[in-house]
Amino acid sequence: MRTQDPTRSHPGSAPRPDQASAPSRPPGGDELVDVRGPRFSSAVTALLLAVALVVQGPVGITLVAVQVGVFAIATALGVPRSPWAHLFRAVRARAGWGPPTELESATPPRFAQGCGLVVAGTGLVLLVAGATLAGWIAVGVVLALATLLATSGLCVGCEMWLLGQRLVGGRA
Amino acid sequence: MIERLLVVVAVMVVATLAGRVWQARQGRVRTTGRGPADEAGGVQALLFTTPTCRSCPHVRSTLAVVEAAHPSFAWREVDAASEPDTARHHRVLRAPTVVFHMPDGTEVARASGILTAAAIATAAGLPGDEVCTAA
Repeated sequence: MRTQDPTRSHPGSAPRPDQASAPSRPPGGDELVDVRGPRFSSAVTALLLAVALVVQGPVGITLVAVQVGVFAIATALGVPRSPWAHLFRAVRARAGWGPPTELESATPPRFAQGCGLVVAGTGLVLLVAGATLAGWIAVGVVLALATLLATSGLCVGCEMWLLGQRLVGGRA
Repeated sequence: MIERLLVVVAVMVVATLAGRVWQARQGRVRTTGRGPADEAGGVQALLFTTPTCRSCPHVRSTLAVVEAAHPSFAWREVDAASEPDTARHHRVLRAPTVVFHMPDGTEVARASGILTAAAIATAAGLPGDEVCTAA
């Protein structure tokens, strides 16, 4: 997928860790991602869940299931392997957004995706089990948090990870 | 269908407004207890960071800029992951957070998020002019 490499359209810029088509993992360090990636992904998530909430029914539940799958991939394999991250890199290359202005650790966003997986997954189980109202409320919570990250850059799940680190006492 | 659409739009608007409130609080210095003006020069700072914090390097370099302009300004970085007790003692829940305190430990102000050099200088009771040009 060479066309996804944005460095090709910006020959003067220095290569950054997350610009390779296969995201790099520096030895002994945290994986780094373009900060715009998680925000873009959360915008896609919010859009998908908003449509699901309006449509509801089998189509709506299918859309929730798709997003639960995306959360599961991002949690299991890391944020850069999320389908929405692939979409972000494709759009970034095509739209000429240029190299990342800021990089962030991929660990807190991955934890946040895990939080999304738990809440949206619970919602999906409730919807399939027939607890429609409770299920859609859970989906609405994920919609609110995804909107928060997309419009303001506030990642509640990431902040919870930092809080958890402090309470646990650190792993360093 | 219309009701659902309205509910969805309401949820997204409320989330966006909540985010705006959070953004407005970023970098705003909140004074706690005594103001720093009467004890100019004596205020010290603690920068609380975590290994994966996005804005921490930015605040670290801004503190260094202030220190370069005012060598009397003393600050120290606290890694909340390796010094959780210090973070707990100062009730720090987020990184980056800068806690401004007197030499005796009395807190005078604190701020979370990205801070300007001028805001740091004001909170520390330092003349801010040369800091602004240096930054």
